[in-house]
Amino acid sequence: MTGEVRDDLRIDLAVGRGERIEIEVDGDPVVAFEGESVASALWAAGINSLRTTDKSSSPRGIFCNIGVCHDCIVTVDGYPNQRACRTQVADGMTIKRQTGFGEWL
Amino acid sequence: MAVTNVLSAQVVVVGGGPAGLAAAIAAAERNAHVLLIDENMRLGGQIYRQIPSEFSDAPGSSIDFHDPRGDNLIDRVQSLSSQIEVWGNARVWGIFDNNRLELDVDGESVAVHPDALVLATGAPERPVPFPGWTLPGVITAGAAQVLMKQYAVLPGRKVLLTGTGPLQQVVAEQLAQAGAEEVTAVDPVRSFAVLPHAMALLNEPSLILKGIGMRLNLRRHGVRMLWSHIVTEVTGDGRAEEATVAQVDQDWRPIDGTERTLAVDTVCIGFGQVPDISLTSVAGCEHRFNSLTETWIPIRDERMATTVQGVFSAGDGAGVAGAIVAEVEGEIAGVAAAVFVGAIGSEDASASLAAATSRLNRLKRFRSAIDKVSRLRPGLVELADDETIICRCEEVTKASILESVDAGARNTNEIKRRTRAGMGLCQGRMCESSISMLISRLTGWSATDIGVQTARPPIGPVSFGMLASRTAPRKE
Amino acid sequence: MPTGSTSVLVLGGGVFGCSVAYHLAREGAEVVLLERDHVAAGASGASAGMISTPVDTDDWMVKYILEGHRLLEAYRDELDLDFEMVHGGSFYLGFEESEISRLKQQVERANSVGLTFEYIDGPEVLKMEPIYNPTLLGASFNPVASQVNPMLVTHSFAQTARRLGARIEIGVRVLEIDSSSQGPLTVRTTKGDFVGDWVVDAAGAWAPELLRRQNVYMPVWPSRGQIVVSEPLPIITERMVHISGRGYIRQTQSGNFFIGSQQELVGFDKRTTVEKMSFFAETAVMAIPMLARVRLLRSHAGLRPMSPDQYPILGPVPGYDRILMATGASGTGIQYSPVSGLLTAEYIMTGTTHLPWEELSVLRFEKARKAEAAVSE
Repeated sequence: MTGEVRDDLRIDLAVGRGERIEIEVDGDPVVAFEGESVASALWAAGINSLRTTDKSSSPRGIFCNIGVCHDCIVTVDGYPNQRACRTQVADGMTIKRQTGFGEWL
Repeated sequence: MAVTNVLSAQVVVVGGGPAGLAAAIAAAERNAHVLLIDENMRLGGQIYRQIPSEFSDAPGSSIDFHDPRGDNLIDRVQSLSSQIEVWGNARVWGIFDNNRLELDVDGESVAVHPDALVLATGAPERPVPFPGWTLPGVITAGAAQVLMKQYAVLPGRKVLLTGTGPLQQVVAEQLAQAGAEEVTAVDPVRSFAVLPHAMALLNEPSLILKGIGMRLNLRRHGVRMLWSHIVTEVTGDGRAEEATVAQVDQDWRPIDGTERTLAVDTVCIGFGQVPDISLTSVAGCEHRFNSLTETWIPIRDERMATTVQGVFSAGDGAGVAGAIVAEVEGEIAGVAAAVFVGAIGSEDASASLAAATSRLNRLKRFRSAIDKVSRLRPGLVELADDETIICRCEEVTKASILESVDAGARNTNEIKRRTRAGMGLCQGRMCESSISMLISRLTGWSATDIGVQTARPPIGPVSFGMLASRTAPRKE
Repeated sequence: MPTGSTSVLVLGGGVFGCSVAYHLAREGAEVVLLERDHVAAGASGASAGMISTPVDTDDWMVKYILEGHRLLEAYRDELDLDFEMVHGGSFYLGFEESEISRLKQQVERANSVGLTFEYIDGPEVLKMEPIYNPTLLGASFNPVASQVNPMLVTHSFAQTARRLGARIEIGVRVLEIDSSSQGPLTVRTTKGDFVGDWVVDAAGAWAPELLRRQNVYMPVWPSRGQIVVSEPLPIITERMVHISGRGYIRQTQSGNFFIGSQQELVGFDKRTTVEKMSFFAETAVMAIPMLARVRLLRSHAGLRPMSPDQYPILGPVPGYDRILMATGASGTGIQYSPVSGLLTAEYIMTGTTHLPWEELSVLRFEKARKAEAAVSE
């Protein structure tokens, strides 16, 4: 049994969601549903802090949630700087909460 | 080598919110061929945001996902599918000579050559820097709506909203309905003096029907409303945990001794919206500063034509006025674009244009009342202290922006070059308006003198890999 | 104004104007710099910031380049702002046999005039820079090439000049230079008249326009140079890359990759084009394939003052002893700025220069001008 989320913020009964899938966040399994954005899946799982900044190593997470602010960037399947709010989850996707500009090499 | 896809289109509409939908419908109904482009997978824009196609509606859902007005517009676009082609997940990143568009469509480079262009790009929320605003858990009111309306995710259990204007009350109500345990909305205005249906009109047309009951709803759902208050600071270890709320005077300046703290898990900021003028700017349109709303807007004539031939602009992206105004403006722009491309004669269009214009003028009266009540006061800019981050991407503090001004910087471009504010991934969209307000309040310089960043493509980052595979567009 | 001091009006707040102002202020001249927009608003702010000798540099220019490098190095301590100088060297990559033989010839020639280039085989280059394209055949390498932040170089000259007493007036548009009287020169501007013993026209591509009243031959044209800037990455390389016929790539100290630039003669049009953006993207991916995953974040363009031989034009305007030119660097202004400023200041203050500067005068184009005049008659 993996991926049971302790602090799920999904609103019950509101809608039928997509297929239940599993993504990996910094090595840990997290439940998600097809159709969700990475940002909403992580938010629902209680994961608010998505990265630390380059200069001051401050934590950042979702801010505008519509693709403008680029604060919610994470490394998706090895690609740094992907906006969590505009990236759809997929089964087996690996998310890394990145430090600074991310790892490119 | 990959060949760039080039498409010639009569009327290209950018933006799938109310203005863009209405423009596409109006142009298509007048026999123009329309290409409707939106960054999102599904139409609707921010306000008529749809659930993902993988989701399904459940009867008796606890919150409203559909707005009948939005459904109606989207249905009409779909019923006109022989005239309107819709591209989702498509982003215009550049506008070049002769209004030619460069797009990123699902990661592919596509060039589109429109005969007329309607830009309906909407208005993201105004970023308002204050101590702690970069902490995870501090989000925009719009971000909270996306979580609820698109993904059915609760933004938080103990939620504090700071802001002004109707959207904040709408979000507060939605939060309470969605199951948040504690919802507190603080608004620096003394009490909201605008008619409830005007508030509804602005942001949530469906609420017109129930608008009268809205204040009652707030109380019934357990929303705590604090007028004449503002959030001055958010603190927490790695995320928002505690917020300081203070009473304010009429300039929105906190009154000493009135501070109190609240335990929170989420803070939503909603001080109105700022038109997204990135595409009108890069298209070369002239803009002017609206000092009442403190925003830059494209200069337009009564047919929504900008100063660039063949480019029209409608909806919140041309001046925030809410969904219903956006829809009417979109209709006018769509008709005008159809006339421009010769799909309809100008005499055949005059009756519908006149009717829409008179409707627009009636609606705009509500708007000015709201703008006056929600007008931003000096206390808002003063919330940031020296160490507060103004440019979130490059982590530029208020102190370093002020230092650059002391060292001789006089306008946005120069501040950008000296401090790197505006050079990050968001391309200045999160700091430009606050820098301008900050400098203008401190120095007395006009926003026109401070100016805006020179607009150059790309709008939003584009991949070198995609660009490298682009060849010169074929002439059709 | 103390009697006996020399007063100089410098026109233009680009890297040349600011360097002239700094060198003059250092020598105690009374300096007023007039700038239409703001410091580094034009080509200087849109420069790549490469301090490297182009392999095809004419022999007679090499001494100025080397002197420029020496001065910049010294100014790291002398000027008030750090300008992010990095000594990484610079590669000219060859992907085809024909290019390789050309590179080898250039190395030989460069070394014969006092430079220190070397040719390195592809596999060795890839050991130094594993991010380069593995199909690389070889490269020439200039180990002393360096990079600076061009904006900061300009601001550093300006700020230090200001500290030393120079006045920098921004938002002042020069209308004309009145040289009709025997005495001091008058510069007419949108903010009134300014008077000085000397005028240095360092207005870049606009320099000829300011001499309209003098009606002299000044072969300087705007040459658009576009640059694209990537999103910031951790620093992964400090060596610059050139590909013949394509341009250059460098990573700045902020982590952004700069890719540019070519000379485009399109008048005073500062827009950027999708054609150049995709061309530079192609160049980037060709040299450093991992850049395909990276995104372009900004584009900008500068109008560089281009002269016929693409070297700076310095010294008196023919017929006007006290009006000097300082422009024409054609996209290499940052690296020529220290030496141009120093020579100009030396000439004004002492009447002589420590390096010969007559060969940088506009008179070097006299033959071409006469030929042109003959054709038009």
